[in-house]
Amino acid sequence: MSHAISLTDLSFSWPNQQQFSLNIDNWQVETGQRVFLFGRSGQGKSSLLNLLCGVQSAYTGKIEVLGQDLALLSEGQRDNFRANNIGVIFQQFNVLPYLSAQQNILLGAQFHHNKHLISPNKLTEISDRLGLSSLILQRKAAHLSVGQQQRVALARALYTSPSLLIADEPTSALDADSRDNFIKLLFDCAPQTTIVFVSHDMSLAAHFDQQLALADLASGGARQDAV
Amino acid sequence: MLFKLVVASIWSRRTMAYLTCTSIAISILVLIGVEHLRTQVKDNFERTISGVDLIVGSRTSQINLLLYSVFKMGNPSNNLSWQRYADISADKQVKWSVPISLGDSHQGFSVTGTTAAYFEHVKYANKQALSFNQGRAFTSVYEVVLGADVAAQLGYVMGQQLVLSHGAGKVSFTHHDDHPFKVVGILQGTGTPTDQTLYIPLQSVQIIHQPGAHKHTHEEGVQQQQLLSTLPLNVQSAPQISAFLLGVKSKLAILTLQRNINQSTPEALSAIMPVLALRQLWQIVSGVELILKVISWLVLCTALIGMCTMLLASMQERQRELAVLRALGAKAGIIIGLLLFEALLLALVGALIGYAGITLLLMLAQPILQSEFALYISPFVDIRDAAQYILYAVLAAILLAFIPAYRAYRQSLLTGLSQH
Repeated sequence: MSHAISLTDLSFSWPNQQQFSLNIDNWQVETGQRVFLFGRSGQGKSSLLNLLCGVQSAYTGKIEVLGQDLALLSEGQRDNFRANNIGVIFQQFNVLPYLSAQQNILLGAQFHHNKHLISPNKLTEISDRLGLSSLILQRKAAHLSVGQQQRVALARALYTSPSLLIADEPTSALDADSRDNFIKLLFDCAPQTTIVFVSHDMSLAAHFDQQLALADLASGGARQDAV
Repeated sequence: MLFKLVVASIWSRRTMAYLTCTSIAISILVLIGVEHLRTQVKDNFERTISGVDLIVGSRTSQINLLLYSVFKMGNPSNNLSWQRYADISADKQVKWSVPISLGDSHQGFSVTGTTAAYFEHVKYANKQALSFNQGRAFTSVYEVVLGADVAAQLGYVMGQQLVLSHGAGKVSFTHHDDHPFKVVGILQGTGTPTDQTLYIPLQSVQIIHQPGAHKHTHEEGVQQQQLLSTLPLNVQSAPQISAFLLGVKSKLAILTLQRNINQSTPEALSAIMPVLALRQLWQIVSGVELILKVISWLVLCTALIGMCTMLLASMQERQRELAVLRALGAKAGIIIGLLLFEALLLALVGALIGYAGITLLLMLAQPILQSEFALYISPFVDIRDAAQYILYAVLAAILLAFIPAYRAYRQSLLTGLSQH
């Protein structure tokens, strides 16, 4: 089986924060796997997210995403690669508040290399599945509930059918019922997609194929000296 | 989609956008307005008099003489005698001369006493002669020729009788009620102070102001329309005049003639060349012009810096927005582009509002400028001039927007997709 993610001898620290660094000797995620990554803020969560998405390039070691060595791509190429292959969902503030829900979803294809190939039915198909009625779609994102906003974010991330979906605590702002429902929808809508789901909520871990802690992953732990 | 995104984003911060646009609009209004008024006023002055080689009046500065004799601004410091006028006119270099007597007014419009030769020799703009829209020059004592605006604004028609008052100003206390003048001619519009003037024969000025003239006409009321040809102008009969205009036979003679007049005694006179006097006037006002120009550019700078501040202030709340766009695969360059485009939109909309504003303002001010200052300011700013200033403003806005744009770019590279 090929690897969706493969990290080797990775070492990274933020340019202006030398006291923190993230080191991962070896980590592979197989294609189609759903990984639960347990992590708290300060353990290198956002660093890993930025590295996988190709936003940060000041690392040593090797990062391969979907078989592509990110170091071989220029900054612009990495942006394109992200637009075409990776879906991202944040903890909150996923939507642009001044656009309608529908516009937010369509924005997912804005930077896609072939947005014209996306089926015109895709929007209805995906919003039907996520229970976003046409009434909600027309509404301004700022007026949606947090649960609705996260579903819009999911719809947007999946609109381009990405091979890899990275979710950064997308359920932390939801109550327990909506949380389970959200995970269910996520799996329903993206049955073939490789998913990396970062959360500090262990109760969700059981839904996933693979569970691991960020602290274990980072060999010797993500080092945190001074702070 | 990105266009919609920028518009929606601006709309969500519309209060700030309104204020920014307004300040840019005001600055463009000032900038275009000052430049337009400057060129229009210059234009106005320069087209007012043409074909006149020398203007002669009693000793005064050349600008003062020019202003009161041609532009009806201010008052003659002194009159000059008919004798001096006759002497100088007799010089063999003088081709023609026209005396003018100022000081009377009618409903706020100035009244000039002159001879019929005025309409023949005094030109405007590019040596265009005055022409009659209706009627003819005066031939009898109580006849009047109206400038185009006088007729239009007061609703006077040919053959109408009107009463002239002494002294300039809309409200005059001594009305010459006993001397109704008959309208015999209305001039074609020229876009100069001529349009705002009533012309009467010099002899009439004399008769109006002669002691006992009232009684005289009461007794011979029927004989009011006395032919001018029966009233020759000479030292005894002619009034004192305010100034006179003359043309020479050969341009080479102008300087000599001017020197002779300036040095003549006993009555101290000034002779000026209108073109040179105007040039001197522009030299004096050029300092003010420069100051106005500098101020209007500074106003634009202030407005644009205000816009820059607004964009910088909005970066804080837009950090999340930019993180979302980056996550969707937007290149860092797109983040810069969005901010620059936002600046372009704000500046362009503001500038266009300013342009519309100055046009509207000029439309409102035009009648006032025309009646109060005899200035003909077109409310329509030259589209190329306006486009030029709008372009400058937009370019400057885009340049300045590089500051917040670069910051946003740096920030999105540094913090990546994290939203805090």
